[in-house]
Amino acid sequence: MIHQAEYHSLTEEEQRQHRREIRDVVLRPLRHTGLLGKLWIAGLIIVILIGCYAYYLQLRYGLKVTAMRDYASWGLYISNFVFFVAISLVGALISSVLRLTNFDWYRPITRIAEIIAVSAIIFAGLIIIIDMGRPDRVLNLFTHGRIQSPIVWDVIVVSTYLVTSVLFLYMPLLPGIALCRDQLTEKPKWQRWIYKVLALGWKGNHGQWKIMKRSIAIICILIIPLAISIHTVTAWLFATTLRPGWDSTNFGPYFVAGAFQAGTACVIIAMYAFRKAYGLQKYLTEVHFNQMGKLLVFLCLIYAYFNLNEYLVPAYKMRGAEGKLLNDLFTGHYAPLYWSVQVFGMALPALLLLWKKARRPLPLAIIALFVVVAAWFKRFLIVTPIMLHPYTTIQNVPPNWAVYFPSWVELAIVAASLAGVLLIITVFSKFFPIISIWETLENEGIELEELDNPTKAAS
Amino acid sequence: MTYKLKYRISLLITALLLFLSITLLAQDSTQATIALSFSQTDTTKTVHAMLTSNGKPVAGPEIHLYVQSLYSLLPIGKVVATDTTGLATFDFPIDLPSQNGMLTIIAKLQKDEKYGSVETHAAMKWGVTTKTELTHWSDRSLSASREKAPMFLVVASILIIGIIWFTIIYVALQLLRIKKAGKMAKA
Repeated sequence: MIHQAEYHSLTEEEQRQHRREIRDVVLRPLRHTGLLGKLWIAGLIIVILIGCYAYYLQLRYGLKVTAMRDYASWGLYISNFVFFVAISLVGALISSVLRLTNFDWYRPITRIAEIIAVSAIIFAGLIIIIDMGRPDRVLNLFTHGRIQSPIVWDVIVVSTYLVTSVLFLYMPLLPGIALCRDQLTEKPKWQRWIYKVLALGWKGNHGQWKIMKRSIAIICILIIPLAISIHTVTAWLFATTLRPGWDSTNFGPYFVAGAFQAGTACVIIAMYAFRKAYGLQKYLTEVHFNQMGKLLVFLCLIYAYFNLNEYLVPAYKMRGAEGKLLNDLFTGHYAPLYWSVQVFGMALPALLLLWKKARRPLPLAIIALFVVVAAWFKRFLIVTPIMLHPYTTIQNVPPNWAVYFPSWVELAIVAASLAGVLLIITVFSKFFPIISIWETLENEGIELEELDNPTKAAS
Repeated sequence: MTYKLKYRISLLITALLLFLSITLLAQDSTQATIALSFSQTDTTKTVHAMLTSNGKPVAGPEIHLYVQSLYSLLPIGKVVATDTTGLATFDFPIDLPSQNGMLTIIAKLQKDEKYGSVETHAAMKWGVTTKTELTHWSDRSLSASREKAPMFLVVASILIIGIIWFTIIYVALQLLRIKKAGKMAKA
């Protein structure tokens, strides 16, 4: 990346060369997929196929193939749902909050954040349907749903957020699709047809830019309350239920803070992977990693604050069933997992990332990986131990129903959903530029018309 | 089949029959029953559980008294051992609620070494009839049916969903304007 002043100090030929270079770098992954890339896609497909077989078994034999029983009627699927909803919030944070607050460094990573948001929210919706056991009963939500029910609120916000996120991904992608339509002439006919249809006749004229930028500004504002709503409502699914550990007024902001933290860590990992795999070192620079590292520290500290509120206040009282639950988390069965999540997913990252060296691409990506894994297990800890500690015990059930360890069917389906998210992101990056070229170059002072007219620019 | 073998088989069958008869007789001799009887005054209600075996009172075993509730058995007082007349007497609460006033009272002898488990039950109209408060059942509330959702919630939901979806549709329509702008530029 070069700065505006540097770009304008270049000769016309050098400027042309620079634009051509950018296009080539960004379009390179779309032209060619290496052996490693093919193996990665094949591996993801295999995991998905195993998950499909497990889901077939669940459909055929019912939810008894899972480990969910009367106590843990919400298990791995719901934990995974909360995780997906959490990471989907990052689209709003990176693309919207940073855009509206006039930060410029975010520009090359917007698309990564947006595709993570879209793919995660798609699978959040799917995993809920999987958890229902009978997918045909989704219709009951529409025919018998009550507006008083938080589950209906969740269905409304998840579907609304999905549509908005797709728009938020698609709208700034139009110039990129047009570039693919004009440049990737060697691609099969069907692919070029898709580019042609999706590009919506983009010519990059003044009128089109104006409409697009205005629309993006509207979605930017719209998506912030929506993103906060989707995770707050997900938190309310728990908080409106009378159970120790969930009976908390802190739950909405606690979930939102955790979501921003987990989502940011996901974007960092994706940035590192794309940087390495697609050779985008020039556009996903150390500056971006440094900034994202600082953002992650900030979000870890905010999340730590909400964790203090969530655990320390009830722990001071240690009242009844809540006390039993907290004992189980602090010193009991779930203690190793609980403390690992708090230390490796929050405290240590916040501490380590205070050093600039830790905010370099590789160490930051490793730390972010810890944060994401811990975030996934955190959702498991939010759901499962609480299901096993109801206020009143459930009578006449076998003793082994009071413990929960997911069955292979659940593990396979959840693994497939995670692979599904990764596959959508990978396939997307093979069809469309993963770096928003116009947003990156606009920052460098390159005229949008020049960028949009590659034949003219290349001449 | 030799005579000796036949003799042994008949001996075995006889021994088996003898054992079965003794066992049955032995069981008969230790079979017990509980008979419930009830008495009441203006302020008290009393349950009497009489434990007998072969018509004779059994003294000593502990009797448990319960009332059948919706999902489980509600214990009434502490366990009471039968006296020399085979009688266990329980003070029965006078304020147990019941939808129609009927209570199923159960007396149990549990896993006794000699008599095993014995149970009997009887229905008595000893419950206090409860009346469901139905005065607000047709009101709009958070716990009501979908048709009776609180008006503020219905209005707020429609407003919020309406504003957001109006904006989404407006932005989606801008895509058509972008397409149109491209065509105009071409023309």
